[in-house]
Amino acid sequence: MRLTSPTLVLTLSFLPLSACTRATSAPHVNLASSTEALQEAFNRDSGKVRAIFLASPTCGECIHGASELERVWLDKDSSRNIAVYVVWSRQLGAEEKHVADAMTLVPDARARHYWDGEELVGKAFQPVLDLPAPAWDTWMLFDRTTTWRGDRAPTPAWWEHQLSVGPPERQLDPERFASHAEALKSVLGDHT
Amino acid sequence: MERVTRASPPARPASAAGALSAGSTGFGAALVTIVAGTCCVSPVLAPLIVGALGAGGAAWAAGLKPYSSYILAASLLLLAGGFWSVYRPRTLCVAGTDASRPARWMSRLSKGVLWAGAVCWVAAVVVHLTLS
Repeated sequence: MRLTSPTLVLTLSFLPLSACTRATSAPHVNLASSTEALQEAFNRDSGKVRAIFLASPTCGECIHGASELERVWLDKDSSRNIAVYVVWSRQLGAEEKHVADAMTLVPDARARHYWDGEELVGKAFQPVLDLPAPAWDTWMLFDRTTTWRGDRAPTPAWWEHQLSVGPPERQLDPERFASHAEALKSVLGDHT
Repeated sequence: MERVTRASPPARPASAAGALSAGSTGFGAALVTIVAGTCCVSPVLAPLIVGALGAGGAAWAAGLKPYSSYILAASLLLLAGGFWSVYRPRTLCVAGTDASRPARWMSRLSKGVLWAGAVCWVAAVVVHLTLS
């Protein structure tokens, strides 16, 4: 027992990570063939700092990025003037059944989760972000006045990504992302 | 009846168990490096990794990706230490006694784990170099 303790530590270190995930209250919304449900929620939350996370629930780096933003930003900022939309899509073999587990990594009550099996949201943001493929593993911030009307997705006030094809200076840095969110919130006069 | 072992004497239980510990830790570390490296490249492997580790485990493994080189270096040291423990030259010992049985069993197990760990480590290096 004593001699194999490093192995046990290594093995057991996995268990709490997979077993002790936090529960989220609301189920996810399936966007099916339209981004309408997301657009409605986005426009309804006008006046708040809003964030859209585009990620795949089977991409380790995506869910690591999501959990880091939860830890570094949302866990530390309890402002009501924040709304987050986490759009899970099908890259890397993901299916809708994978969403429930991934959702537990962003349990914040201000976050709503969506399943986008057709990458509709990613395709909508592809031209806006000037990416060569539908956007995913991408994290965007919008100011309070932005609205999403029609087919053209809104331009984010700030965005970061973890893609090999995106601009290197925009690689996800959760601390920097949180500071940009804070700056946008300060514009609202919200210093909580 | 006692007889003297002439070749490949089994490791002493303590050193064999130490080698087993080092080997299995090195094996585990190399495996983690493979998981971290392959989590985001294959639509076949990614769902399997998330299924096996859960979203939290997969996120944790992905978070180790920047440290892959250090993990590989540490696991190489562990494996090298394990191989040295098992294969280093020893003085002959008396076999057939009660004490030699667990030593022989442990020595075989240690060698198996160490070689499996070595194969896994090479695979991890290939994955790491290919993806980086």
